[in-house]
Amino acid sequence: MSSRSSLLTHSQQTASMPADVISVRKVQEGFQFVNSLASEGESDVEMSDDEKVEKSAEANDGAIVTPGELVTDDPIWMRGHGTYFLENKTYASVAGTVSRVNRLLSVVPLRGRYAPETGDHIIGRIAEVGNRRWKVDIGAKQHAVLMLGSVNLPGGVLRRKSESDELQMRNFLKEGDLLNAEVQSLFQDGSASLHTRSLKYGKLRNGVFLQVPSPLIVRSKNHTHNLPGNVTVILGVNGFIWLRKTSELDTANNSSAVVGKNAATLSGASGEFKPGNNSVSITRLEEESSWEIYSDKNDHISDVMRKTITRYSNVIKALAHCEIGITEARVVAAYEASMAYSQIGSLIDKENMEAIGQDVINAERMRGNA
Amino acid sequence: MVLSVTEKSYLHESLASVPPARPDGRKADQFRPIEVFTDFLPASNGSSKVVASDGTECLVSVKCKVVDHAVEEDLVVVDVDIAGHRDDSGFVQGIASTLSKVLSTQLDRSCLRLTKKYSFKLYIDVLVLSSFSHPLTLISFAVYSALNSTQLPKLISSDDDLDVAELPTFHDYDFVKLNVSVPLLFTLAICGKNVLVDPASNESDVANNGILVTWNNGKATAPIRTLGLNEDYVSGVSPQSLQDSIKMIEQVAPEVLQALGGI
Repeated sequence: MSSRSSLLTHSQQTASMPADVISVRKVQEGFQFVNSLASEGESDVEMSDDEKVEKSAEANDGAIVTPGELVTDDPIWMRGHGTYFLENKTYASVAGTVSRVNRLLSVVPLRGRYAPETGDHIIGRIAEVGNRRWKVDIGAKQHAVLMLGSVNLPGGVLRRKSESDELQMRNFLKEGDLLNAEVQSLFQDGSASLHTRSLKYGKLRNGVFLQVPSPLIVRSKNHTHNLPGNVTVILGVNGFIWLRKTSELDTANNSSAVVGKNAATLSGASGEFKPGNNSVSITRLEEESSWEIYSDKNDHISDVMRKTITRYSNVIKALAHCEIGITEARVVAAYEASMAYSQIGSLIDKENMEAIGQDVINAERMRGNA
Repeated sequence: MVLSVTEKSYLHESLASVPPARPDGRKADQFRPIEVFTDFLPASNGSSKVVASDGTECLVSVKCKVVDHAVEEDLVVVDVDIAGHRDDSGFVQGIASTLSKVLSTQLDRSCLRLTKKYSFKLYIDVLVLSSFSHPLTLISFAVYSALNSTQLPKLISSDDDLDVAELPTFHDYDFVKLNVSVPLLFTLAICGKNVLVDPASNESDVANNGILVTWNNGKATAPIRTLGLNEDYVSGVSPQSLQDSIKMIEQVAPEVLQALGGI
């Protein structure tokens, strides 16, 4: 406890400095990559040849490998993604962690474009309106497809899509619009087909968009979180994040989720899943799918709310800068740590971002879950 | 980047409110943090790389050549290359012509004078590797740091060569630092009645207009003009906004110079 309080006073000291007009980091004579600045003084890992031969035969499950590194020389393994095969040996073709599932050997890249998987809750931006479908930019290798038949149209879900719907597709979603959706299925080439057939999916309003590297988003059961300060965050698995004012629908969804959880713990281990408990039932969906779900008008958002949203957006960027996986708990912890900085604008400085990341990690360590 | 209608209206309302609420929480007169690298190109007399926090990156190299200044009129040549834009596009040519006009008219020619007959001619090459917002401010910071880190060969022959026809000779390895006051160019965005320095890309997308203010020798100088930052929200500039932007630059420019200085 004592070390935590000292941490807080430390960050308060930094915060009490007046915010500069501009912060400039200077490096003279000599060229370095921006990201290698922090690791100054660290030398390369020594790699003697005989040592390598001794150890090289196997890279175990979870080991970190670099491109061209030998993963195994055992030909029994099936070669999955991120590997290549030369003279009966399997090498990594990307930098990442080795994953072994049964006989399948693959390397999961640390960085790279988002690879969609069925069931992912993602956020996308309409790139193109086409024949009975929208092309959606989801930060993957290819654009995803959203079929006209996979969205809720005004007047209920259960009606057929008519020709007039086809002609007014731009009235529902047009180029640039943001939506959240679920990956319904994958095509042969790895591109995704999306659907928005639930009230928690659909067009996004009342907030701001920001993007972080997709590997930082931790997959979880729920990706929509109501945060303190009446702000709701949608952490898209593809690294697209939407911060908005909490709507009535958000509170309704969340409270029902909490009731469901409590009920399960009270009634014991039976844990029956009731459809419609977590999401809006189909009948209500019909009532609520009016034209309003495709509205382009924001509700009134107060200045205080805008400030809170900005603060959340800056702390999420700080977490991403520190390469910390982004979860609801960490966003809240970082938000609380950022309260030491009264100026929201001071959160864009590198030192302050790193201080917040350190605070979050330290707090987790102290609770013993890091 | 294309923004959705709701994003744009949210941003525009935030930026037009008093005081402006910028999407990254900056104050109206706050710049984004930058990183400056200097003197890393061995083949040029001065070089710099400036990286902004949004990933915009700009490289500048300065090279020199000895010319007869009676024959060559221009002693500063600026070349601009912006990745992702054609060299003959209006965007790139506009930036290039603004830069070369400002630098060739406002750099003190006497600093480049070698002898009565010869001068250094500077070739300033600007390469924008990636740009997410209007790159002019960043380019100007990079040019400033490059010129301030420029080392020119040291003259050892006489500097009076009108009577004797001799070519200037230089010291084998000694250099002299180029000492010249470099103009800075600032872009500002106007949103409603607010004036914002260093607009990020999403701010530029909803700005009513952009203003370019040049700062040299401790005062705002020509050119001061408007910049089109987007196509949707553009409206006229009120004289009040123009005054506000000049006033704002008068306040922040000394601090920016101080932060950039000492390179």
